[in-house]
This record gives sequence, C-alpha cells and structure tokens, in this order.
Amino acid sequence: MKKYTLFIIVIFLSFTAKSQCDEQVTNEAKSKLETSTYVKDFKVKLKTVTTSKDAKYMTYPIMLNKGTKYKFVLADDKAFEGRLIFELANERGRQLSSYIPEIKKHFSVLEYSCNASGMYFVNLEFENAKEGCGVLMYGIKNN
Amino acid sequence: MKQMKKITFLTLAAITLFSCGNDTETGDEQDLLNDFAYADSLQKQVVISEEIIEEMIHSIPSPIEMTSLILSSGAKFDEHILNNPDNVEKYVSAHSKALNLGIYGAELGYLNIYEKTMVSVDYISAVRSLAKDLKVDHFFDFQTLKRLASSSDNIDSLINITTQGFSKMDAYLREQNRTKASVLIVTGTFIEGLHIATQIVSKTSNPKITERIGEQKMSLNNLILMLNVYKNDPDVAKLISDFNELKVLYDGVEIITVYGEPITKEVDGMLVIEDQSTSEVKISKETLEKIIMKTKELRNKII
Repeated sequence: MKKYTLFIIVIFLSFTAKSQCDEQVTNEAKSKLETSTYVKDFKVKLKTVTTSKDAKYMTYPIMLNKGTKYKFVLADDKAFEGRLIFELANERGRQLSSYIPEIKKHFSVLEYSCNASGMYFVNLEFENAKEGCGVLMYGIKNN
Repeated sequence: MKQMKKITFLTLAAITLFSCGNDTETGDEQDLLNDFAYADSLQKQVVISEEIIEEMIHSIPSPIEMTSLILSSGAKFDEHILNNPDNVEKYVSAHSKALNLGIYGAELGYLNIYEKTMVSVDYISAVRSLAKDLKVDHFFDFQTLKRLASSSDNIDSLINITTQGFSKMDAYLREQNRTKASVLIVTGTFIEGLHIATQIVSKTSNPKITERIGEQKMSLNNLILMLNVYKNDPDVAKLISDFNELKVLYDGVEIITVYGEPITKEVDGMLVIEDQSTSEVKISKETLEKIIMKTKELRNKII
C-alpha cells in the first residue's frame, strides 16, 4: 500500500497538469478540432522522470456517451523533445492509442465512434519519458 | 500497466475517503473572502485529496453533451424550465454563488445549442455577476460573448468560447487551491443538465434522453465522492444528503455493457476507431418518475 501511495505522489510531482503550457499549443489543438464542439482539454507537462517507470503516466476518468462521435486532437510544444501519447481505455482495456508502435507512427487527430456509454480513462504520457508539454483536446463531432 | 492504473485509481479513491476526516472546513456564508481563505487552509490539510478531485472532476460530463443530445432528439426548446437570470441577486454566500454559476453555465449551453442568442445575453450577465463575485470573471470576455450573441451566425464560436471559459475557470480554481468552489460549480452544472433532461423527458418520453438520464448514475457516484471531501461544511453536508437520496433512486437503474474489440483504420491521416462495445440502460417508468421528482426538488433547493 505504501509503495503504491509513493508512486501516486511521484506521479503528481512528475506531471504538473496545472502547468502553463504555451497558449500556441492550445490554439494548435483548437484548430485541429475544426468544426467539432469543444468539450474538454488536458494540458500536461513532464519535467523529469524519476524512479518509477509508472510515474510517467497521467490518468483521467472521463464519461463518454454512446451514439456520439468524438474527435480527439493532440498538440505538442515544439520547444520540448517529448511527444505526447494519448491512450483511451475502458474497463476491459485499451480502445485506442495515438501512437502505433508497429509502424512507429503518431496520430494527432483521432475520431472515436462511441457505442457504449460509460467511464473511460484518458492515459497520457510522453514518448520515452522525455521532457514535454502538450495538450489533448476533445470535442463532439458534428454530423 | 492497466492493472497498475486500476490499483492506482482505487488507491486514490481510498485516500480521498481517508482524507475526509481531516476536513475541518466550516464555511462562512457572509464573508466570501473568508470562505476562500478557508478553502486555502483546507488545501494544506488534504493536498492529496484535492489532487484526486482534479482527476475526478473530469468524469462529470460537460453540459454541452447533454444539451447536444436533447437538440438532436428533436425536443423543442423550453425557456420555462430555466432559472430566471434575475434570481442572481438572491445568491449571497460563496456556496450558492458557485452552485448557481454552474446552473447558469449549463443553461447558457442549452440556450446556445438552441441558438437562443437573444435570451442568452441575460444569462451571460448572470454568469458575469456570479463570476465577478467569485473573482473568476477574467476567463470570460463578456464584450466578445455579447457581440457573438448578437447573431446566430456566430453560434459555434459562442458555444466554444463559453465552454472553454468554464474549463479555464475550473482549472484556475484548482490551481488557486479553491477546489471546493470548482466542485460546487460542477455540481451546479450536473444538476441543471439533469434537470433540463428530466423536464424534457417528463413531457416527451424520449427514449434516448431517458437512457442518458440513466447513464448519469456513474457521474453521480463520482460527484458524491468529491462532495464528501467537504462534508464538514454544513451546506455541503446538506447537499450530500440530498444527492444521496437521488443516489438511492439511481440504485434502481441497471447499466449493462457488452464489450467488444474496437476496429481501427487510417483515413486521410486520421485514426478512425469504431467502438464494438454496446451498453444498455434498464430503468423502470416508476424509477424514472421518482428521479424526475427528486431532481426537481434538489434543483429547486439550490436556485
């Protein structure tokens, strides 16, 4: 229990969700959202990676609704080397990832057609735990 | 990794509950500044809990999602179900100001989705008044909002700027260790989104909106968990008691999920994912009617 609590504290120290990610990054994400209706965004900054491999992850629960097409977009602050990777998971596991390791390709725009309402988990990390600052934004895709 | 995340999340929830005992907040209905100062002192005592709230607060859906569904269902706009913007003068304490800021915010979303821009100007003014009192009005460019509201051609910009304003305000409040205010605003948006949906269902019996009402069971549980952090505040304790009565009714709602593997493909450089899972909400007519009544009762205590 103490071990897990320590990990949690490390996560919170490593990831500063309150960080002042460059406004330009947010604007870049907004432009990628195009005509979709904005719902939420997550700004994350990784300063250092410390002792635990797991410390590089940040997880947020979000509620998604069936019958809705969501557009997820990512933008990185180019001043940092780290590239933001976004993963969406439900109770059973991963639904999507912005990085496909088999083809070593990052996607900054993802469209998710949700058919099951429920709590999902937004997992964010920077590739190879490098220092980075980025924004994940999502909206409802208008038909 | 997935297992680790689950353990982490459960541990966070456990720490939240554990930390509830450290809450010594009393609240001061007459002095907003004292209330904020008290929230700051609270933060020092329950740092980890406040961090958990930062994560959990995202699990409460944006009112835009509910109102978008209501619009797509073909339901007619009903101004009478909204809180009169003139009521803004009634809200004196920081507690009621924060709750009703959330309520007006949700209503602004409803008005904007239905392109009722002329009416929305009054609601923008109500939001401005409460936001100013809570010292978070700098996240809303009210001149721009009123200009955008002057024409339905700007509706997308109006919706996005308003929603982003609330999002920035929420992040700022948490940065400033005023998480309690943030939780109360989210509580207001949640109950008003539910109120709008239940009032429309009571008149239309729309199955999609009924299902969405049932789905709020998941968010309600998280909301109560967050409110519990401030349970030593008598005003919040009353809210928790009311929300727990709603939760008891929601215990009669069953949500069945059948999981499937998603299908992923690349289309024009974009990753397109089709969810193969399905979910179904089982809610009896009797339970729905009780939820409609309780939501109305709870919301009327707040406005």
